[in-house]
Amino acid sequence: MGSNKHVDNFSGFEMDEDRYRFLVEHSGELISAHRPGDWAYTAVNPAIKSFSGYTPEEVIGRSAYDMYHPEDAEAMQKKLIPAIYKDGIRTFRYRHKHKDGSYGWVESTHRSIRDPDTGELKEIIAVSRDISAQMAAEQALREQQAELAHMSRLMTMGEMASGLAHEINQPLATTLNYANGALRRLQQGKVPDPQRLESLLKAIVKQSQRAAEIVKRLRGLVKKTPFQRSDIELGALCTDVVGFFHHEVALLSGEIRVEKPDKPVVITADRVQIEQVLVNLIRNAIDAYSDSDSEEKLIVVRLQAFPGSAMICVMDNAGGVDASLVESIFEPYVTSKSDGLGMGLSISRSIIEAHGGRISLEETRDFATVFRMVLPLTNSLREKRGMIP
Amino acid sequence: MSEELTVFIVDDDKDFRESLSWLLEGEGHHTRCLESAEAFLEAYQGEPGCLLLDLRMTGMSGLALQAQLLERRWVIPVIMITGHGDVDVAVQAMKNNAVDFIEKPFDDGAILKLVEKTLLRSRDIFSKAQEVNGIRERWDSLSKREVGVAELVLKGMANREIAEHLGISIKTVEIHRSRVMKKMQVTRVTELVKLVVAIESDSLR
Repeated sequence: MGSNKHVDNFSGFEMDEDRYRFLVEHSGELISAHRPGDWAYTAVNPAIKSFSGYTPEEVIGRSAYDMYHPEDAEAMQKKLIPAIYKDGIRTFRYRHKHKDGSYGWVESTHRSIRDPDTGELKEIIAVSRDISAQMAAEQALREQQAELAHMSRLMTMGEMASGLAHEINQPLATTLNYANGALRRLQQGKVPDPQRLESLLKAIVKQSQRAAEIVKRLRGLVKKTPFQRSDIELGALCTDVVGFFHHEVALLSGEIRVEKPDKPVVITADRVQIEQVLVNLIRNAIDAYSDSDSEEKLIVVRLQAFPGSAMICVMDNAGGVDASLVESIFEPYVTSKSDGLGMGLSISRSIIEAHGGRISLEETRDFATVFRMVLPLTNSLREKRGMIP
Repeated sequence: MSEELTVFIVDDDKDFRESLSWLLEGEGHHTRCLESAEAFLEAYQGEPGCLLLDLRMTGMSGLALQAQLLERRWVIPVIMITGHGDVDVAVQAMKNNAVDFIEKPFDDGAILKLVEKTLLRSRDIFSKAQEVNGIRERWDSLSKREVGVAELVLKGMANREIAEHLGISIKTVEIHRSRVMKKMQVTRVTELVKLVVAIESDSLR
């Protein structure tokens, strides 16, 4: 390697060092070199200024971790570093600090430079691009989807109003009867037996809690919430959602059953949206049975855990989906119901796909209609998401 | 008066049944709770009173039970208990002879008033039904030949015409005719007509 000539190792093409300097200095992408360990900047091109407001002089010698959003820095330290050591090249997304204190989204490709003889890590070269606009667009899309999902939830709740009102009115009616019965006795100068009184007060408490619990769950579904992920346990979620439907299924003289593994199945997802998909699918199964003369009206919600993914199937035997609809059932405005809008399944699919999962319609030996959704588990989801390594 | 009348409560929610029973018993009503329409059909022996019936139940619905009551000629007056938005079904229930319906959750005053009113009506209904049943029993005790003679008597035929029509002697017609009057506990043909009309109008109900 000469002092002012650079020979490209791969093509043999010779290039003036000034040309290299020209390229690097005028690159719109941020090019930087870091030393292993604290990832301090050892070199950086002027593009850093437009990225972060800092001059190259201001960042040289500072740890790159200072420039990351604290949450991302932590995640990078945990996952990125071992990955770099292992694979050589990787691409990550993280938030980069601006001099004014704000953060912008950046996508970086990191490459490790090793001593050819010892394999010792000498340096890390990073090329980074500003992806704030792209991330903002993705965020807007998620918000739009959350909005649509919310509207669909409200519509579903509207359709369920009569059944839900029953679920709430039943405990209210019971509470009123007990309380009024006791009040009337007292007004007539009759003192109810303390033991009887205790048991009916307990019943009042139980019934009030029952009503409150339903209202609480309902509020969760109707509330307009931003798209937010948290760790959720799918077994409990399935049981909760099925709880909305017990009465309605009983009226059909049907049965709804949850089958789930003994161990908890945890995924990172937007709880309300996953609940919504389940509500949609169970609602569909119930509607299908109300239109059918099936003898045995069984709905099974089956949760299974696999390495890296969780699967929920909602299965019924109400005659299956019309062959002409199978292909397009997830498209908007496609419905088999006389009074349906055809939005439920289309929104369900967009929700599941936003979570990095898939939803499909199948038929099995035991069930005519099986809606199967597969969702990635916590870890694989994070990587797929690509936001935080 | 309410001691001898029973308020039957049929609802598939145990706590609701018991709470309603508690409210009614506080006012001196005698109640009996049943968990389903099927259980009611099994347990009911025609006791006088009234029936508080939940419209929506697992298994046999309130409307189906109502239809069974009509079929079995049970006259117990029915108050339908409905949930939110059950207007269509409530209308059907009224057409099927329900005396009234009340929406859950209800005011204690409203349900108690409704029960009082219905039990009052129930007295008349049951005494009238008892009367008709008595007449029906008497009618059913007639022999085949006696029924044949009675029917022709009701058509206004004289003994001679009946004898000709049936190909028997006038003497025999007279014997059958007097047995009919004795068994039906009447002395005049006009009274017999009244009884038969009572049976027929009850059957048309």
